Amino acid sequence: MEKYSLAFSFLLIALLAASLFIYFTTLQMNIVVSDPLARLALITLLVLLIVVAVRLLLLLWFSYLAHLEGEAPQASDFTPGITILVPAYNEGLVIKESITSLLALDYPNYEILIIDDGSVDNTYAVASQFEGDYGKAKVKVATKENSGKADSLNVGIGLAENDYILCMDGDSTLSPDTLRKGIVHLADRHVGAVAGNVKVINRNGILTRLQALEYIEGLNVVRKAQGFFRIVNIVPGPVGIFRKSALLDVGGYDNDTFAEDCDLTLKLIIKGWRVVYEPSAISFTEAPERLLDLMKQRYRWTRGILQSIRKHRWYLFHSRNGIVSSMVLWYMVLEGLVWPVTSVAANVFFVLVALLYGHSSLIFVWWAQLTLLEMVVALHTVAMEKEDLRLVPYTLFYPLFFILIVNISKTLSSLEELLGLKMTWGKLERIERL
Amino acid sequence: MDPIRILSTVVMVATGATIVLAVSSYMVYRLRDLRKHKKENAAKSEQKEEPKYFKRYYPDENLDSEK
Repeated sequence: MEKYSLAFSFLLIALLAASLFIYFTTLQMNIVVSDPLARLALITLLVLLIVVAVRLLLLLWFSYLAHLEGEAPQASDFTPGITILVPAYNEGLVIKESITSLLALDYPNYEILIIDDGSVDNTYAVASQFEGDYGKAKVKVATKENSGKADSLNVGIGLAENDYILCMDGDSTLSPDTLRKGIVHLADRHVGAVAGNVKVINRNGILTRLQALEYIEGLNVVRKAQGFFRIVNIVPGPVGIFRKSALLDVGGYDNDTFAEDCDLTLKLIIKGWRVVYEPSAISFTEAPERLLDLMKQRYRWTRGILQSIRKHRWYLFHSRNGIVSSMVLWYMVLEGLVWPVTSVAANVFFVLVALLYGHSSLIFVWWAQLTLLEMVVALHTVAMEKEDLRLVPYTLFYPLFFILIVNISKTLSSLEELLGLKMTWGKLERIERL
Repeated sequence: MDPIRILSTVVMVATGATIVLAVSSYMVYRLRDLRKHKKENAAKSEQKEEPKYFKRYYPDENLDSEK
């Protein structure tokens, strides 16, 4: 951690110095803004920059507090039986690696239950080869007619022998100590679910490395900050450990949204269950390697999350357990809808103002400050998660290219959802990188 | 030329290009998705689905066989 602390401190100093440099450079530009529209652009730019900075600093602060609390409570003798549910649809290319990694988990007592959701490839045949008792683990395979992931998970919950269930995707692998690290939180009877840490495994191009960075500094730091308050708003599909009674309490998974993981987590929070985050419970997953596949993924995520918010919209203004569920829902509205639309509108607005009024230097100031902020966040989160420092330089492309692409995708998907246009599941093509 | 002006131009051009790329990729994805589902729906409607558990009853044939 020492090398990260030094680098982090250095970068903080560099950030302050760069901010001062940018401030004095801007002063020297002698920008006279008399036009009302240009003045509005300047004020908007400043307000947005402050909002972004405050949001990032708050996330950093609470994730740091969560980090200080420690990685997992000391309850190493709490090792109850766990059922791992693996819903699989046409995962013939990757299911073997997935099961093999599950059999290598460091845990004394668990079962692996693969639910084949009516696959048309060899998923069932490959999975069936692994059926049997392996001492610490049992492997069982069930097959059913195709009816979606939510139904498959519900079937698995019904068939599970144990009181604790880990739900994952058929195309993910778990780190060996995921079960040990995650289950200890469930010793607290108020905790209904533990969200794990999802990492990108196929970091072989700019797009996948940017997604790896996004998962670390975008998704996981948010979960960590939310975990400090024990109200993580989405237990990710690739890794989530649940108390079976909590799942039954909320009626299991519903199939009326395209983000069943988000919908289930909201149901748990609304019912008063605590949802925590465990950074050491790691799942590795394939990220889309092509831009169109990324669009497909983000389209489903965005519309699924909006569907979940719409489904539980009553709790935006009412609450069964204090203001917790309202806060979580409003946060999701801000992050999932307001922020992406605002960010895209701001980018378009600034480019237009720069072209019309010639204040293009301000665009550089905006980009430089934003990139420096992202770099600090990236270094902090990479250090906390003991991740690859070589991802940090990718922050040069992060706000300008990647985040803008993702926010545009979110904005257009939100528009489709608000217009009520029909959508279907669609499947991400597997590349067998596991 | 002022380096900040050059960098500003780069950022502006990159922003514009990214917006165009993102919007066009989204449109391409949605069009392909819609075409794929139209094909699937057309294929489904062409198939004549026979009932799984019951044999179809034709009243005229049965009357003839009883005679």
